[in-house]
Amino acid sequence: MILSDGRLHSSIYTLITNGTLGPNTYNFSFGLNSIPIGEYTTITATWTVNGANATAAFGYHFKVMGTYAQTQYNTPAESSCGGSAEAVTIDDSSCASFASTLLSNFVFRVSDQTTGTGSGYSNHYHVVKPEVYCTHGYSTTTFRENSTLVGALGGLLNNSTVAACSTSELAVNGTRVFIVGEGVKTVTDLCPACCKDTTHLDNYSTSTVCSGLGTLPGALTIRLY
Amino acid sequence: MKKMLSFSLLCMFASPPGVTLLANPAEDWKIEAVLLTPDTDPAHRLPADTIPQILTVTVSNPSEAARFQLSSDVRLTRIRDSFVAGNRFVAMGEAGSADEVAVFDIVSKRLIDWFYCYAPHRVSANWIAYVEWYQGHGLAHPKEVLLMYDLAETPAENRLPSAGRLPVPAPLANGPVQVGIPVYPETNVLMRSYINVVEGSGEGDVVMQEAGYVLLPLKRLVFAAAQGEDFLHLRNYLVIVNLSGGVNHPAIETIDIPKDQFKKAGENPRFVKITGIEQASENAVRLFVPQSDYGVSSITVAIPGS
Repeated sequence: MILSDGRLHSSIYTLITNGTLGPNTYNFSFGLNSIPIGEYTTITATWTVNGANATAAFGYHFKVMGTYAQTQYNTPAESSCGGSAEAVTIDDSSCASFASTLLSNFVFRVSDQTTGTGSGYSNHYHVVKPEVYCTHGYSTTTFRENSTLVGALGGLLNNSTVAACSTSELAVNGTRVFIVGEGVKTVTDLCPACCKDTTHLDNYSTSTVCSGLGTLPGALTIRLY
Repeated sequence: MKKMLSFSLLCMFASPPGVTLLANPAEDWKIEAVLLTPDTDPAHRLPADTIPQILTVTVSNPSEAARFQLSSDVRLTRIRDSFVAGNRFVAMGEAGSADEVAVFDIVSKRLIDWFYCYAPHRVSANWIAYVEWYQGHGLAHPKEVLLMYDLAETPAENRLPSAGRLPVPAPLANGPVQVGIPVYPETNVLMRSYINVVEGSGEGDVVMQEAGYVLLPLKRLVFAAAQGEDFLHLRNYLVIVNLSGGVNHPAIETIDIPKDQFKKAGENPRFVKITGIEQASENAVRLFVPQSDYGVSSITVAIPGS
């Protein structure tokens, strides 16, 4: 069985050779542990039966991107964060603001530049995000209430979505990727931190824990067309 | 002799307390060891049980028979580069999902500045180029601003008047991001602004951080940038920032990437996947590209002389 790039005639990967089998139905693995990086468009199976060759081809377009780092992010709930009441400013969509408080661990978990999630479910103001527009710059103490939880590319966020570097070929809303061990996910968001090495996806989780979300193991990532 | 004395006094009065300017750039400090260890002191713990790191650096100066340690809490989680520039020690690396630059003054043995950013690179003896930090998740129209930090200047001189009013150096719980002088895009240069989101429906610039930046002779900083709402609509180009007038007076020029050197067009003919940039000659850079996409592994691009 051969995977090949029908357009480029350059990526050819032979999955099985010299298999002698009796009549039956068989499943063959794609050999994900050893499949080379490359773009494939066709699966070709060749049989030799009683000395005669038979061939069948199936069009299936995918691109093996390589092993990607798989981090996770989420939208934590203030109720799961704890801490003491911290003075903050709450903005509405017209930049009208008022003073309030949020729990300190929640403020930090949402707004911290190194570990911050960028969004959180507050106890009183629905989804909040650190304010950027009204404050003319990122604020760790001013939050936009009633924010919309949506990816930067316009798609929803759920357990089957990921964020990618903005200059990655994966950074198109709706691009599907198969992450070995995780399944098929859809790109809906952007991730500047993923641009450090470009071989990095940030996986959204609907868990609302305040900390301890952890990192997923690095995994072979395959773009599906 | 009298002129030198006057200069030294001026430096002392112009600097923040405890900060020494580069009075003698020929200082020959050597880095002996750089160590990052968790600071488990409960008194230093940040909210949400976040533990900072202690950065400990051992430096020596054989000509002065000096050897001592610098130490401070930082948020760095992995050091990618560290170096000495005059009397400054600099550590750069990962800080969770951000990057961090920490600057120590060796003479006063103190951390004098630090900030978060993306993709910091030392591009000359005293200049560090990086992208201003922003929260990327869910932000529809980021505008990546390229900043320059000049180690020959004071922390105050490396901030615009509009920078967030934080103490310098900032406490660890306050993440300074508005640090450095904007050299790209032009709107930020002209407005002397750190604003890095596009208000309205405009398209922001994205610096191709993964490709890096290179400083050519005549102080021409070259890097790749792109515009477009997603990969299918991205178009990219080379940016040349002429810094011969200093970081406060950049002159920006953009040039197209010559695609006629490619054997294949790639998935998006208006966007070239650039994986690296290096100096090819005094007036040219070499752009590295994936051979599988373009049929060649690199191309050479001439850069205007001035």
